[in-house]
Amino acid sequence: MTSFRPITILHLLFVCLPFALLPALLKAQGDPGADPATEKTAASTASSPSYAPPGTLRIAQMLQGDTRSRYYPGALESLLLALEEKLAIPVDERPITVSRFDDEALQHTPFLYANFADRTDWDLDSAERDALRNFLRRGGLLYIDAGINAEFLRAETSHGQRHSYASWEPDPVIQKLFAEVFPGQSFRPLPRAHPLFRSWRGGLPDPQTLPESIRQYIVDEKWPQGSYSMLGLEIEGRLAVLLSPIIAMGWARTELGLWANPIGFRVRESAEGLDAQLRDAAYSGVRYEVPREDGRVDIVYCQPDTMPAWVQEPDGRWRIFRYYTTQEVSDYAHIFYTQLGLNILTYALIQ
Amino acid sequence: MKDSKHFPRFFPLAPSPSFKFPGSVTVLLALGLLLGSSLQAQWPDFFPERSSNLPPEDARKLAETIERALHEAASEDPARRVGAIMLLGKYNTPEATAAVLEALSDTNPQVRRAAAVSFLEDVTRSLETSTGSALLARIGDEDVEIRRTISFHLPRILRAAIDNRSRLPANFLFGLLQAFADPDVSVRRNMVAAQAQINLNLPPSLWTLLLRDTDAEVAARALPLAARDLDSRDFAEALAPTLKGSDPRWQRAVAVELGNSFSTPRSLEILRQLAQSDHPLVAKEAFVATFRLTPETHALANLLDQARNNDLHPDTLRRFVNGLLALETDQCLRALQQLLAVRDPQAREEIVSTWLSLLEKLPQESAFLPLLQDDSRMIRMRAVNFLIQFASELPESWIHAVARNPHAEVRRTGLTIAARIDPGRAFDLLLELFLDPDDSLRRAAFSAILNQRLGDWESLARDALLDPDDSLRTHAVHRLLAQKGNPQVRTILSGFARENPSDPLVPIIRAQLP
Repeated sequence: MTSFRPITILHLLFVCLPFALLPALLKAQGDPGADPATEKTAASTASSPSYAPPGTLRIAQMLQGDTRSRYYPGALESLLLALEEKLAIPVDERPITVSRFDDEALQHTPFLYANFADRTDWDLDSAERDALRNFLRRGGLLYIDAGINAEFLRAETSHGQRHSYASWEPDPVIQKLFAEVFPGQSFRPLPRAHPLFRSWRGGLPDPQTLPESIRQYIVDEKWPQGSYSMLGLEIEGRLAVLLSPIIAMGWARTELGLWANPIGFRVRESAEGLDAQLRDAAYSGVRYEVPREDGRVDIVYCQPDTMPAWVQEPDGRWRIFRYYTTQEVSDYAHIFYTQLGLNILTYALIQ
Repeated sequence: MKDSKHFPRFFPLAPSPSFKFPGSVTVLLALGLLLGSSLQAQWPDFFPERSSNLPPEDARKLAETIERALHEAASEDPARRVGAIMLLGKYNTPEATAAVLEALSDTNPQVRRAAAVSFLEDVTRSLETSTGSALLARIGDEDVEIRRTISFHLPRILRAAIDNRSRLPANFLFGLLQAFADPDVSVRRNMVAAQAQINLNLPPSLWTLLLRDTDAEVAARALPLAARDLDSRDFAEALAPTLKGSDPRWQRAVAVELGNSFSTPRSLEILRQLAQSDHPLVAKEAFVATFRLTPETHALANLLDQARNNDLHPDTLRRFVNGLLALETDQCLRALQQLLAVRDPQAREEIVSTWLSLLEKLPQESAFLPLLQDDSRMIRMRAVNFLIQFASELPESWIHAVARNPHAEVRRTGLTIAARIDPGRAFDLLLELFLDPDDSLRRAAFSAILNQRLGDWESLARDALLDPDDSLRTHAVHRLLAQKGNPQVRTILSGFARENPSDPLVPIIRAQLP
């Protein structure tokens, strides 16, 4: 991987959520049924620092093992800061970290974020399965980032952290887990018009900053109407579990407000005569079938091993994958992924 | 300027016949070469084989693919050339690479863009020197998207372009310096981001321009680099006009960098102004920076109060802790001890690590023992490692704090401590661990007692053979049988077999003790 650290300034777009919403959001943190002893414990484990005023919103993050070796450190914290900054929601930017689903701290938060790769063991014991079931039935939302990993990314955990490849099937590990927790229930694609994609802000950021050669593809195909490849599991008619390919790569900022990680775009391109050349082109990597949102499949050819090089699409068209890694692309991706993250958070809080 | 020999540079500002690469650059290049070789060894799939190594059928298909694409690349239609270059960029063969290289000089900007992206899209792909030079030459391309692409990938391109040459040709160097003043803001951002790696020798006037750039990101990127390269006085002077009414994040970053630099009257004056800011993060950062430059007792007391009350941002707190290291050791230890319970786990880990590394004797019990129950596993393990160093001096209460700790990994270190203390205390400790809820720890404690024949080990062995936990009983039988040469052990085992003839473990005993 490159060691570049491209950056951008914070685009100060302060958008305030109506103040009327605030009490409801803060109320969502509390568990009215908690007994006084439980509340005391919660206060000690989830107290806010004095520079984060009392009563601030806190969410939880699943982390196992050494918290300093996690993927995209600081990403969720940056997203929470953006939540406070753009929506004027008082929030503690540091999430409550839990390593198990039966951590008592989960009784005091409506939202649990988990990067799939930050938990090494998704084979839950019965206590954790029960606790997860209770958390979700009680109204909590579990968002598993990188809970979707296209087949060609599954050989190495780190692949699914670097490639946010649109696919519409859960990682098999997640699928197995929820088959045990909620037998008979299944993940379904979130439609492009799902309210989650516009719960804070809909559509795409202004694409004029993008290189003109990829602009149309981004707007029309990659992220149409600001949507994304996501799967949801509904419990009692409510979205309870959300999966996506990795998006935390686009959240972290440095202390100066600069984006912390470079992001490139994988773009499908065509050119005069290229379709015909790709049909007979030699490839040295592997060939994968990746399901699309509508159930049809793309056939992806890799060159070399895990680098998608071109694709045969269900309508018979062949296009080449091109990888754009420039500052403008990286900035745009960060802005969109942060918007997406804020949409998820606000949806979790108000649904 | 600060003593520039401390800061190895890739290139002098103007080419000099006597200029040689510093040794550190040569070492970096050598490391890069080694890394490249090791990458190739680890991930051979990222380095596709040449056609000559492929099976004949695959080689034929590859040759045909490239031949067709080369034909297209020679088309008069730029759109066809673009497609051909995209495809050729997917193949790492000499013919394909040569064609893409040539396309970098195409008259059509779309073709040149396609060629540049083809070379740069796979970051694991190594670039030849000729490719690096050709890409570097496009830093002044009339097409802004090409300049953006090249400047974004500049460190990688430059590494390839310089290869084993001692210095860069003057025209390239001139082009690079011009790029810092490119009219396009993205190019300037890329250049200043690349500067962190390419380390060009920039004149103070250019640093001043960058620090005062109308684009906040250019300035932000330049800030830590200028702090490193500029004389502290020049640095403070360059920053002074940028502060009034600026973004608090910028003001805070300025405070951080001034705290990192040397104390000058101008920097202290700026920090005094920033310490008056209405923005608490800025004011506190300036206060900490001032303390780092001029550690004074009253400021120390104030900052310790803020830190203890979790009123400092974790990053500011870490910088404050770093500043404490400038104090006398005793004063530093006293200060750190007051911060052992700060809320932020990472800051706490750093504080605890620093504190323990400076301690030369056992500290106050009330300060130390809570660390053994800290939420952070790293802190707990640091604490037990410290205990092991002082095992022979540990008071009873400290040993109990280990044996009765809620965390199994802390209790487990009781085994190590037991091996370092006198037998009587060791037996008491191990006996406590023998009653531990963790089965593996019970077994380990039993083995330790048995091996060292501590205390009333015989009674313990008899109890172990009757324990409700089958895994412990089995373990005990095997451990005792391993010492069957000892008459007391034989007596224990024989007695057990005689009194419990139907026990499933008895056949194992009888097989080895006829």
